[in-house]
Amino acid sequence: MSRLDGQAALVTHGAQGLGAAIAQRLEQEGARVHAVAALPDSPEAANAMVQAAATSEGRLDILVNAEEAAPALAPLERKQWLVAPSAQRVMWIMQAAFPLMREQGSGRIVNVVALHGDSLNRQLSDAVATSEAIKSLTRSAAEEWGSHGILVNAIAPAADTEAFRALRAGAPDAVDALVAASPMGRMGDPVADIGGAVMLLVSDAGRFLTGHVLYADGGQHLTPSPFEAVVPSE
Amino acid sequence: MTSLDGRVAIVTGGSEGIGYGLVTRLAAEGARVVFCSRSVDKGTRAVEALKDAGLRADFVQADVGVREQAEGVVAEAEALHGRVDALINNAQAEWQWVPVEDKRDEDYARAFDSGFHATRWLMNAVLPGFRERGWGRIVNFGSRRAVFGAKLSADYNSAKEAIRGLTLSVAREWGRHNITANVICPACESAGTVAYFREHPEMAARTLGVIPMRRLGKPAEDLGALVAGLLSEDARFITGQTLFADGGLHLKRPE
Repeated sequence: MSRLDGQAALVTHGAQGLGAAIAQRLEQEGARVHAVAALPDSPEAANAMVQAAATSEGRLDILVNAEEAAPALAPLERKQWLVAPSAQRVMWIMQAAFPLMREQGSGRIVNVVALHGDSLNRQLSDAVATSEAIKSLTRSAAEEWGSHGILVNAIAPAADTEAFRALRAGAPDAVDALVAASPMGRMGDPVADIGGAVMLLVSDAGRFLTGHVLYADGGQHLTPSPFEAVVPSE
Repeated sequence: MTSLDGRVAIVTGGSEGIGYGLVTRLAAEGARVVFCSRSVDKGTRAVEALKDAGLRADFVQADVGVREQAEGVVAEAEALHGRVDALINNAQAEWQWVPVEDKRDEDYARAFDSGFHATRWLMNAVLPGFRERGWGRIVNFGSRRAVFGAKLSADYNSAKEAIRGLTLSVAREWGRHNITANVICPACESAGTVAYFREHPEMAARTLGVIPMRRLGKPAEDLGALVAGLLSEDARFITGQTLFADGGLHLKRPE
């Protein structure tokens, strides 16, 4: 008997990278996972995604929005948008899942947000603002939907993914040195470490947790971000 | 259900309340639990209640606010089971509801000995074994009252925030040994709150109405599940964090 047997899950940005790893972990734990490549670009598309992910009885137990920030480094004066469309799209998919979760009196929503932003802002203003918008949305939904048994949390990962390796390539030795100096001294395995943290939030362990930003980062939020090594200092 | 088969866990203040709930849950999930409290009577009754529920755990009488006794709990657990894998620092003295200016030195001493120093002594005592095996889990208890500075509990608040500070240092310094350290701030029902809410339904409605999940936590079902999760492999990359196990109450501020 697996822990998520019989549960239906929708993972957006679940076709590759971190999202695919999370989808894989949820599947390993017994969930029936519907992974889609991107977030919906309209409320109608969001509804269609939720319908495709739900069971024939109309159940959706878990929603994970797993977009990894792949920020373009640029100073503020050259940025175009403050908040990227993905924050709006996360709202649409959450709104689409809400009626099903309210009806069943339970639901777990996990939004992936950026680990940097608390401590590293320069050259990343748009990515950080987008991430903060999603955190804020997470807290609002936690307050408004908690009485329906819907728990909404964010997860801030330090994952060893392609997105991380692409940034690392800019200064591998310096990035590695900063990772080594973080409390647990390593990046997280997408399935075992980040998937494990997602499991905390969607399993029995997380039944009384809502409105959190859970760092799945081996304590990296306490030490300088490895991206300090690749983000220009001016 | 997570499986904690064979893990040895210490729970301080485990004979009643949240601590007892943690003991029952961890034991039910297969951990070998050693718990302590100051009262032999309460500890013995807890062991019997566990037995009635088909569970077993070992009780050690100790006042963890006394250094030798705190260290003795770890020595006893290691003697019983050959190792300790996880430490849950739940013990903390109650406080008197008085303003800052009326708190006495002995109030602070009681708060810091039973909470902060006990937590520190026990963590230091489990470290050699954790380091040797390259695996260890620490769960300390903080308080939302303390995080936001609620009135009339300055001694308790100060000790609780000191525990959170210490937990950050431990997370940072011991992480390289694959030791994680986190804090839980609970909003949990007790025999007292359950009875009070039954007598005062309007107060219950007011109190629970501000909690997003509209209820207080239950020691074994809610807090126990979270602690079991933090002791499992799911939480292997979670450290240095404060988890509010409170149904979202941390989004609101205390009066």
